[in-house]
Amino acid sequence: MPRYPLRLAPALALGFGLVLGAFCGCGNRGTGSPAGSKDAVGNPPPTASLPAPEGEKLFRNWKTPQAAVIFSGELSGYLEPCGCTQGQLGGLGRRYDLSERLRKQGWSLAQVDLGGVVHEPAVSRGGIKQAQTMFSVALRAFSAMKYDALAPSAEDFKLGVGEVIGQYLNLTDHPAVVCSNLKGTGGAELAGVKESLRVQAGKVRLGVTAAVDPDEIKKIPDAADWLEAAAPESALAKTLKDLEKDTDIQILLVQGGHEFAKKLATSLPGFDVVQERSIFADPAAEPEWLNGGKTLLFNVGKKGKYVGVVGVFDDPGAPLKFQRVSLGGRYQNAEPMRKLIDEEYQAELKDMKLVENFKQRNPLQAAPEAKFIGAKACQTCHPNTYALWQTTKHAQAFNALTANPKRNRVHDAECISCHATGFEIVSGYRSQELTPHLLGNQCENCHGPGSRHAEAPDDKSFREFLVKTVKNPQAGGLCIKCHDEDNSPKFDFSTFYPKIIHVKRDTYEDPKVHQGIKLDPAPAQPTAPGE
Amino acid sequence: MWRWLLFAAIVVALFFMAAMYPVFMSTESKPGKNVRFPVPAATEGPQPRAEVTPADLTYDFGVLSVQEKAKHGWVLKNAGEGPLKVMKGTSSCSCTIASLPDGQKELVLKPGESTPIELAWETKEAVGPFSKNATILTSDLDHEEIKFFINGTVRPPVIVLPESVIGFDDFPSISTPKKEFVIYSPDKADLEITEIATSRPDFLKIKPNKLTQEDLESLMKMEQTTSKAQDKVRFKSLSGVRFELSIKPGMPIGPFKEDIQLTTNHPKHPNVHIVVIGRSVGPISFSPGSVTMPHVSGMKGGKTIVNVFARGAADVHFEATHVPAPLKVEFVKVDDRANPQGKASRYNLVVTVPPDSKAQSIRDETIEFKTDHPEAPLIILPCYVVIEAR
Repeated sequence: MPRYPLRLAPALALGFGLVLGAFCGCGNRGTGSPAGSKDAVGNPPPTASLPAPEGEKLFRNWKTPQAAVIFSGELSGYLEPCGCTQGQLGGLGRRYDLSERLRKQGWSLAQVDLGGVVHEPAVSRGGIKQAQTMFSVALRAFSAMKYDALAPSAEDFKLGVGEVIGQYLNLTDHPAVVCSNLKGTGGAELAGVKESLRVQAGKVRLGVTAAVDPDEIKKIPDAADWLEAAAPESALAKTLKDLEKDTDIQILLVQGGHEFAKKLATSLPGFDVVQERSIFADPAAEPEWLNGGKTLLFNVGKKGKYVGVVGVFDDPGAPLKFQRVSLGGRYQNAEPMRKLIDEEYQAELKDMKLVENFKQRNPLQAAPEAKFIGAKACQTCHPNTYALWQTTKHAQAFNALTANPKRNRVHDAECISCHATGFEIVSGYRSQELTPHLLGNQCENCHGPGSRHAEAPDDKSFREFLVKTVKNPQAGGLCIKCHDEDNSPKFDFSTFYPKIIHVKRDTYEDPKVHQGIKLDPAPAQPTAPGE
Repeated sequence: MWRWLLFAAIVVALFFMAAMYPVFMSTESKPGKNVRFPVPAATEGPQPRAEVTPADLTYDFGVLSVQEKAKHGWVLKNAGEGPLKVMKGTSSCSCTIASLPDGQKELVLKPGESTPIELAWETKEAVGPFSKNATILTSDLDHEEIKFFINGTVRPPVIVLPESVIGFDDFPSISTPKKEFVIYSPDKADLEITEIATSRPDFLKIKPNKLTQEDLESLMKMEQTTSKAQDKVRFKSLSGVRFELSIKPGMPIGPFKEDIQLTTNHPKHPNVHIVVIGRSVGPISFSPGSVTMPHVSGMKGGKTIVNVFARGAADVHFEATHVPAPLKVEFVKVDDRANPQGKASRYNLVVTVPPDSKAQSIRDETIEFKTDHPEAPLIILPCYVVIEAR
C-alpha cells in the first residue's frame, strides 16, 4: 500500500475544511426556523414565521397568506421609539424593517395607516412648527415604505387644516389619503383626499376607505373654512357598495372612539376589517369579532409601538387572521428611516432655526423682570450646592444630546425642552452660541430665573419666588414634566429625589455673598418672522 | 513533518470556526430551542390542567387617583391529574404568585393544589387610561401562557373642565374673546384656589366665581355616570370653582401659547397648569400663517394652498409685490361669506412650484402683497420652501 506524502495533509485538510464550511455555512440565516425543525413541544414551525424574541411567537399556525395587510396608526408624533431610554417599543425604522422582512419572505403586502400622526401639536414639547415638520417627515416615511392608504384625522388637522391639506397635495404616489365622509366646503371634493382606494396585494383585491367622527372635526378651529364632515353611515354605505363590486376584502379605517367604530362596524357588516382608535397605549393581542364572526375589529394602540397584521387566507373557515406585532428590539432601525429621521429631519429643524427662534413667553412665577443667569452665576454664592449639582445627571443633560454625533439632537425642540435651561421662557436657552451658559438642566429650571435674586440676595421677596417654585415638587408635578413615562419609565420620586436634594449645603457668613453680583445682559429676543 | 500536520489541523479548525460563527452568534431562535416557553409542556403521562378563577382575566379598576396602589387577585388551580409547573413570565406591572417564594423560579402544583396570583399597580403621577399585564407560564399544553390584565383610568385629584388646554378660535386683535372653565375635585369638599398666576397678566384676565348649585349637581351626575360602583364610595365629596377667562383688546397679532397656574389647597395636586392657545388676527388673516413646503419635487413641482380671510371687505384686490423665484402665486376667490360683524370674503392663495424647477432652499424669505383693504394695505407672509432635485 503506497504511503501518501505528509505534505498532502494540508491539501486534504483544506479540502475537508471547504466541505465542512459549505455544509455549516449554508444553513438558514434568515428569519424563522429552518424547515423541518420543531419546537420543544413538537410543533413544526409555521412556514411564515418570524423570530420570536420577547416571549411573543408571531404568526403561529399561519401558512403563507394570499395577502397580508400591515395596519398602523396613532403615531402621536413618535417617529422613533417612545422617549430616549432603552428598551422602548416603536419607531418607523423598525416598522420599515418588519415590512421588508415580510416582503423578502414572499408575502404580498399592503400597508395602511389610521392617521393620528401627531397629538395635541399646539402644546407638544416642540411646538406646532416642529409638529408640522414632523408630519411632513412621517408622510415621507410612509411614501418610502410604499404605504397604500392613510386616513385623515381630527388630531392631524390640529396642525392647521390648510397645512395638512397642503402636505397631502404634495404626496406623490403613496400613500393615498382616503375618507368617505369628508368633503370640501359646499360639498365639493376635498383636495388631496379620495373617497376610497383599490389595492392589489398578490391575488387579493382590497378596497380601503375611512370615516371620521364629524363631532371631532367640528371642534377643529379652522375646519369650517376648509371642509365638512357628513354623518358617515350613508357615505360609507355608498362607498361600500361601490367597493364590493370589484374587491375581495373591504377595509374600513375609523377615526373615532370605540363606540363610534363599533356602531359603524355592526351597521355595515359588509366591511370585513375595521380598524379603530385605541383607548390604551398597548393594544389587546386578540381582536374583537363582530357580526357573527365575519368582521374583524381591532386597534394597534398608541405611539406606534405596535402594528397589526391581517392575513388573508384561502380558507372558508378562517379567511382572516390577526397578529399583533410589537416593534421591539428584534427589528432593526432600517437605514432609510434612520437617515430620514436622524439626518434629514434634524437638518430641516436646524435650517428652520426652530430652537433658536422658538417663541418665548414670560415665566409664570418669577420676580418682575427676572432673567435666567445660569448655574455658574449661582455658584458664586452657593458653591457646595453647585458642586453637588455637577455630580448629577442633570448637569450632563445637554451632553447627552451630543454624545452620539450620528444622533445629535441640539436642534430638536422636543429634546431641548428638557435638556437645556429656560427653553421657551423669555431670556432662556436659545442655542449653544447665544446662550452657552444655559446648557443642561440647571438650577433655574426648577427655581425659575434668578437674576433679581443674584443682584439683591437679601431681598426676601425675590428669594421667595425661587423657593415657591420648588415647593412640593412631587405633587406639584415639577419632576414629572421631564421624567414622564416615556422618557423615564423607571422614575420613582422617592428614589431619585434624595440624589438631588440640597438643603442647607451652603452657609452665608461671608459679607460678599450679600452684596449681589452684576450680570451681563441676556441675548435679544428671537426676531424671526412669526408663524 | 509534524509542522505540516499541525498546519493541517489549524486550517481545519479555522474553517470550522468561520463556518460556525453565524450559528454561534445568531440572536434568532435556534431550531429546537423553545425561547417562548421555558416551562416545557408535559407531553406524556397524567396531564396537568391550569384553571383560573375568576375566569375573566381582565380586571378593570375603574377610576383611580394619583399615588394610589391598586391590586387584584385570581386563583390558579391544577385541576388535572399530573403536576403543573408554573413560572412567572414577562409583566408590565408587579405580579406575585403567592406560593412562589422569592428567588425561586418555578413552582409545582400537585393535582388539586392552587395558588393565589396577584397583580398590583401603583399609579404615581401619570394620568390617563392604563392597561398593564402579566404573564404566567405553565406546563399545561393548552395553557402554556396565561395573560392577566388590569386596566383603569388615573384621574388627577383636581380636574379641569372642559380640558386643561383652552383654545381660542382666530379672533380680531381688537376684540375681547371669553371662555369659561371649571376646576373641581371629586374627593375634596372644600377645594380653594389660593393663587392665580399667568404668563401674560397684561392681556389674560381670570375671574373666579363660585360654582352654582346647578354646576355641582351636573358635576355630581357626571361623576356618578362615569364612575364604577366602587368609585362612588371614594369620590363622594365634590367642590370646585368656575372661572371666566377673557383676553383684553390689543393682543399682539399672531399665534400665542400662554400659561395659567392655579395654586390649590389640595395636598395631592397643589398646582393646576392650564395652557391657553390661539391666534390674534388683523383684518386679513392667513391659515396656515406661512407658506411651508419643506419637501417639493423640483422635477414634478408642487403646490400648497393658504386660506385667506378678509374682514370688513366684500372684495379685496391683491397684488404681489415680492415673490421669491421660482414660486408662482394666484388668488382665487372662494365666496362672499357674510359674517355677523359685517362684510367678509375668502380666498385661496395658491402657491406653486413649477415643474422642472432647480433644487434650492428658500428660507428667511417672505411673499408680499399690496391690497386695497383700507386697514391692511400690505401683507407679508413668511415663506420656507425646499425644492429637491428629484
